[in-house]
Amino acid sequence: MDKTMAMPLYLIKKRRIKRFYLMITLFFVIIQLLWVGIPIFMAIMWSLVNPDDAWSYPNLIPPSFSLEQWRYVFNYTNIARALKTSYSIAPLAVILSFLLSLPTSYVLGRKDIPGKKVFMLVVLLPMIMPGMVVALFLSRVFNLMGLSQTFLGLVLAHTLMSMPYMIRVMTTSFASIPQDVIDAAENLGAGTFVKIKDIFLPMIRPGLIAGMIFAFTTSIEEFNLTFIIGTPTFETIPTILYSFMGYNFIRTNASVVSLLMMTPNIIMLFIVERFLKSDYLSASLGKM
Amino acid sequence: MKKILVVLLVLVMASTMVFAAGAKEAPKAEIDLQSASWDQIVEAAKAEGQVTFYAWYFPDYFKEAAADFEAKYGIKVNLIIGDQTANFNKAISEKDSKVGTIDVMIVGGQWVKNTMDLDLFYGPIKDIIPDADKLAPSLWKVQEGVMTNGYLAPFHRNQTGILYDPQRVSNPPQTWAELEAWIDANPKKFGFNDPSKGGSGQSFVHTMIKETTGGLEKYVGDSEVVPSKVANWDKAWDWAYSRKDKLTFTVSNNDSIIRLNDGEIAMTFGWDDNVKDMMNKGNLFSRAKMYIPTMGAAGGGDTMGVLKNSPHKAAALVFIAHITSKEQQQKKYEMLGAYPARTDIALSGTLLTEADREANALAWFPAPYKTLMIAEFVKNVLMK
Amino acid sequence: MKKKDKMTPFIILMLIPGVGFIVFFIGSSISITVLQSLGFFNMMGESGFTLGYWKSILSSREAIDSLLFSLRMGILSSVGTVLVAFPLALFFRKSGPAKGMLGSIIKVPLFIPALVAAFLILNLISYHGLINTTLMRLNIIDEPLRMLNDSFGWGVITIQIWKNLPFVLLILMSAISSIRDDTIDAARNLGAGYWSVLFRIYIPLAMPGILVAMILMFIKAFGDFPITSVAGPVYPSSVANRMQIMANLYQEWNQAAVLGVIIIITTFFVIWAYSRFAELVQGGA
Repeated sequence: MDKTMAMPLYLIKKRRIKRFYLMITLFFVIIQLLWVGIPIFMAIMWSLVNPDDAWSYPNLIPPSFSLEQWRYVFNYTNIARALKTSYSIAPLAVILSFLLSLPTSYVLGRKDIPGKKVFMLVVLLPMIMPGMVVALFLSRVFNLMGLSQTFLGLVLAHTLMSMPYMIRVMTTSFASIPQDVIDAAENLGAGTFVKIKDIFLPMIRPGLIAGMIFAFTTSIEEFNLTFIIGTPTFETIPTILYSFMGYNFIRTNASVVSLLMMTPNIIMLFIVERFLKSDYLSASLGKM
Repeated sequence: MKKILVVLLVLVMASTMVFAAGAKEAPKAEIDLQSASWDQIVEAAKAEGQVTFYAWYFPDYFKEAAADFEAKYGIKVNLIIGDQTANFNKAISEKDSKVGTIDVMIVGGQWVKNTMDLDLFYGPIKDIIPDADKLAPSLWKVQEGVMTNGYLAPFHRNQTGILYDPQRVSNPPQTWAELEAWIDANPKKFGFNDPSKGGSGQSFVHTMIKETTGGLEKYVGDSEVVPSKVANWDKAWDWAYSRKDKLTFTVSNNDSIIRLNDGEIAMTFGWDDNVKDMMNKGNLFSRAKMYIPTMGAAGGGDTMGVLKNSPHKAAALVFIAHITSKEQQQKKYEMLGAYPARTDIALSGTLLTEADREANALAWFPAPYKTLMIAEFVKNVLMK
Repeated sequence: MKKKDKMTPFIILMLIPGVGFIVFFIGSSISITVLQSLGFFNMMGESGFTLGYWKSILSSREAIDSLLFSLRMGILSSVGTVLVAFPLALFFRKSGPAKGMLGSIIKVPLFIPALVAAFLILNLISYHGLINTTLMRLNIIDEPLRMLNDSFGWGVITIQIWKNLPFVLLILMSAISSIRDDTIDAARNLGAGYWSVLFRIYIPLAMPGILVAMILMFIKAFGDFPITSVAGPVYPSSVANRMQIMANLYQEWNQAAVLGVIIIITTFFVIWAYSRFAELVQGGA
């Protein structure tokens, strides 16, 4: 009691707010764990079904467990090769799409050029195009240029499909840099290189990270074009996923492939988050 | 304005280049496959050294069959288990290239008509494959109601029928009247998939038309829809529409099986090979039973075709001969319990009995009727 | 006010790697689709100009129903995801205890392919799935609810939100991060309350981010194929699915191309409408 009396009012208020935030955070954590965790838990359950002892109603969990479904996928699909191919292409596609998108995003974000609205629409086209058009016509373009059945072709294809995200997200980041910051730097005599290094890159960083994550997931998930221009020389994970999830939907095998597909991604996410944390948070607190 | 015109012109020119790229002549094999002896073909196949095969199911069997093939002939197999639609999209995308990347692929379902119309396959191959006469003869001629004329080699047979949970269905219906009575007594417990999304639903609607509009004999041999013959299909649509609230519509062949396993429905139409595969992998309880009712249910099979622009045609033919050999057909049957296309293999312990099949299996009516059936079902039952 | 910039050679050079790269690869695919919808480049048979395919599609109730259904899914999914994500983005603006952990968990669905996401959620809403079982045990319902393939498309919207919440959240967080604390402090000092800070500062300043999130989300949900085909209603199918049915089941390649063109035009129209809306909100602030 005494202690509280001795404290200034604003401190008490601050403490209350802090406790309130903690409660809300805990609440969100629980909701999140359920929201994300339960579906993934179901996938784990399905991946452990014993083939000789089906999981059916009214069993809430499989009646017996077995690793047979995992063995099946490792024995009868090219999953290891596919994982390797997918994870070799993705980083290259991310870097390439960043490099190609950067100048365009700068122009679209900072300059008021004629036809800007048209350009902003055109860069969205790769993701608007229906899958069938991608599969039947875009694949012919790659074929015509001798890019099919090549690693370079796949990197270019994945770059193309992830550029809409990269360009649009980075454009928004560029556009939101306040002009006064740039003017101030210019008044202090900052050259182009200094401006890019010390102003543009730090300020578009959150957008850039978002764009890179989107490019990465787009590359890992791309199926229509990759299947046509890549196989049989290159096989990526979605090919195996679709063989159990497309027309011939087998829940147990599909769960194994999904888990194999998401685990490296999730581990990577946690590492990247830890790695970027300090910078990312300082950026979001506005202390540039 | 000028600028826009220039852009359009460039785009049209680019389109022409992309669409018409590559002369439409197929790569020539070293030997004339139609007249060469089988030994010469095997020789040529070994010289080609590899074959690329596209499937969308049975990864376990095909992986082993490929290993056997490599051991026997020393020819490498590039096996790709993809997705049905994706496989055919790939074949269609490459159809105008001089040399494609697929040598041999599985053909089935709605894609039989599509790919035959697009003229994707090399052939006829019936006279080249040894033992061709041992493979289901009707499937060499017609698949899914489409004339295939010896271009596509049967390697697998399948059959639709009624799949049910014996704990919940005590007297499974045999005739249309019995089925009707069962559905009326057990609303929502009978399900089948939207016929535009899978063959088992198509088979149910096919049987429905047979039973409500007077048999299937009148359609035999037609290559186009004769309007007078379909005039009374309204009866079938009325039957289904008036029971819309008592039926459960699912969205794929496998969705029907999944819902049976989940206890939502107690009875459905399914494919025997599909059901067996789901059971083998613990996706469907093993007490489930399947039969062909006496009113009949359609069956068919899947085939393999050699692509026109296949770079290894001889090896592709040898691969088909390998898959359809007695030894491999036996192996496939033992591994999966799925029906072989060969007629000279003794079967036991299958989901459907051979007697059932002989007595009650139906042949699909011609493809144009099937297409019309799907469109009209959507229009008259699902849309309303 | 910024003045209009000219198309200098430097700017053109900057646009080439982005816009140029995209146009180079996809220009011809789009124009083949347009030309095919008008009767050229036929997959089979004779080619020649005709508007017949457009007429058939525009008078087909299945096609119109599919288009309207996909539009509904696109708009509701994009608005719904942004509505859920925006408060979360504000919550994540300041660092706090356990937020790092939460931020990572929340991003997990981003790395799960749409098809897998659909399958995971279907497990929960099936006839004897977890939700029905829980509700039955709690005696809230006597008979399991039939939630699979509902005719409105709630299942599809739920899956879209589940899958894309982190996607939208990332965009919104990067938009909000550019709002500086001094702006908000200044407003507070001038006596602005929570709501007026929200409506006068956060929303208008984050509007470019909200707009991009809505546009990208709309494109994903409107053009969706996999989610609708497993979780959508039995009738109608999504417009992308309809396009495939027209081509593969009925061999109407040209009519499928018409649907392809309609998908592109409709998307452009909705983007235009969203942009107008964003301008109004920003202008009104």
